[in-house]
Amino acid sequence: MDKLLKTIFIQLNKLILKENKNRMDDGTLLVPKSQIIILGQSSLLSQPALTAFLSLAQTGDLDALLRADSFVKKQLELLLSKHGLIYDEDSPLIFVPKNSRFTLFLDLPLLEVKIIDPESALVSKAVKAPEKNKQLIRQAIASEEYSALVDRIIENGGKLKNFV
Amino acid sequence: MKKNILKEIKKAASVDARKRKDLRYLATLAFLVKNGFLKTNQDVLKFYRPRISVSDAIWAGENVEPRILEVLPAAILRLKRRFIIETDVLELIHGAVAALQEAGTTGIDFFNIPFKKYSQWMNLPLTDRRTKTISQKKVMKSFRLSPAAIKSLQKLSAQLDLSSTETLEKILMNKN
Repeated sequence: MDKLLKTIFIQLNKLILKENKNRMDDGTLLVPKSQIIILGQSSLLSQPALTAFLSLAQTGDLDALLRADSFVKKQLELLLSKHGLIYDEDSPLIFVPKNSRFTLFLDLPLLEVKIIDPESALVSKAVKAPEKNKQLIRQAIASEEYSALVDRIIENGGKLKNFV
Repeated sequence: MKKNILKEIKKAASVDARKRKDLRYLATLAFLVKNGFLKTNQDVLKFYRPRISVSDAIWAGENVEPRILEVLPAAILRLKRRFIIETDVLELIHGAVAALQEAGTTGIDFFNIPFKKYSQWMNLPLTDRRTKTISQKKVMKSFRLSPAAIKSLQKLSAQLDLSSTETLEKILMNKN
């Protein structure tokens, strides 16, 4: 997943560069540098070194926050579709827990891509969609790989008994 | 209290781990990954079979990975011949698959998954590149046109080097 997303974002950056070249020739406003933050299941699958002990499955949707021009969003949707993915329009509604950390995934001339840390992505799932993620959260807790996971689930209003 | 709950969670996690070794789950996941409906970090492709059972898929969705249930109605409809549909599960899937077939905007929930959520996978491009998405599928329509209109269509088609259908599509799409 991380390789696939990197390929998509590199292609997207090229398309923005091309668009800006055309806009420069036309004397119109250039597309500013965009920011994408990967959330949800995509963020877990895109950090294999940190999530190898979890059994992950993902539908074809990309959860991501976009701070981008409408041109960038449109091009991203087209590129995702070519690679068997769909942009989840409900992404802005995803719960981002307090103290989430965002690491740099890719820094390109016209595109910066960041990714939420796995523990925070798991807290978000545990709090907002416990039923769908019951086994995943149980596995994450049992692995003891995420030191603050249990405390953060409780702090953010989640209930441990949902995972019994 | 918290310690007891954690103990129970860990116990349940070990039961989950056993379920993840079940062939019904592994074969279903392999099938859905191979066909582009799901992505995974698990090494399951060795369990791939060209045809799978719907009852196995439902078991896997209910007992291991709920995302299987989210894509299942669209997978059944788009890859019909690749599923073995047992009579005892027909009733469970019929409503959702029929709703997708109608291609409307509403339909019944499927294992508590709303129509909006499971219907979006009808438009997912699949790995075989042959199975068309619902938005790409052509729909048969018949019209009775006057001989003059037919002649005009044929002339325009020849000029554009397109089929009659392509010519009509081009005219209609340019209107919007």
